[in-house]
Amino acid sequence: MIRTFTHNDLTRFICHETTAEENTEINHLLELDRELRLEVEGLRATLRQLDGTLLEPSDVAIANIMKHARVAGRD
Amino acid sequence: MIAKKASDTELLSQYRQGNEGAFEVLVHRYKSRIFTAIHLIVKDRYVAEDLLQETFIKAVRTIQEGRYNEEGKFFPWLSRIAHNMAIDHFRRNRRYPHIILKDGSSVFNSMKFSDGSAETAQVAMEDKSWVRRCVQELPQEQREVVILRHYFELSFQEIADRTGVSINTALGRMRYALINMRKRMIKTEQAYDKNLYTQRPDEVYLPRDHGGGEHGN
Repeated sequence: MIRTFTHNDLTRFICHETTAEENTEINHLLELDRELRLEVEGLRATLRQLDGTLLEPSDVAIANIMKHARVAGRD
Repeated sequence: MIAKKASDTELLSQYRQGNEGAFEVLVHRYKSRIFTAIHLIVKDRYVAEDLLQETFIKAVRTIQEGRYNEEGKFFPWLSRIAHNMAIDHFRRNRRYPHIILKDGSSVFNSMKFSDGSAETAQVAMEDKSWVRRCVQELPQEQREVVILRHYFELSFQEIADRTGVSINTALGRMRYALINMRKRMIKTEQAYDKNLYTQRPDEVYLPRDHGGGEHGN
């Protein structure tokens, strides 16, 4: 018998919060359901896009932080 | 000498013993994620830089005064400080809105890329910040969950605890956020170059119930 999963379960799966047992069951389910597989792949691809969005603060900001860290460390 | 792979706890211990370089390793380890998360909330690079500095300075003060008691949880603790500062600023700003003159890139940030022409989309694609704008244009509750989950790396249970909602609500907001971002990204990609991306509708799948996503908090 195939266990049913909610949308929230699939969101946990996409975000890597499911257990190994749940992963096996969901992967099996995705093999059987093309529409669901496309949905999950699409949302995963969206999440991956976020990985390339990191911004770097300016060197001045980091220098200011370290200045405070040094002063505080000597007090 | 400081091993770059030293744990946060080891680095904090070294910093408390007077090794300033240990704190510098921590700053470089987390500056990008903290800065990006703050920027996504306040939507202004200069304000984000100020808040990033305030976050680390508050952390330094707490550590040096011996009040830090979150052993083994430095990043979640730091992210909580940053999140609180950014949210406080966001609320103050919303209460007293004002216009800030910005440099070229910030003016660009105010553009509604999803409205536009292929030219707008092309500029947006060339500047990878269009992905960040997808996040920034999400409804506030959805944006918050994305930031807490992706940049601050909180579990959904921790997000639920921090934002005062149930775990199912937090998960639902994440789902709708992803659906909304997916829609925006596909729209931008298609406007950018219809030949580069697939034109087969069955290869660009969106969940059937996405219509309520904008309001699905």
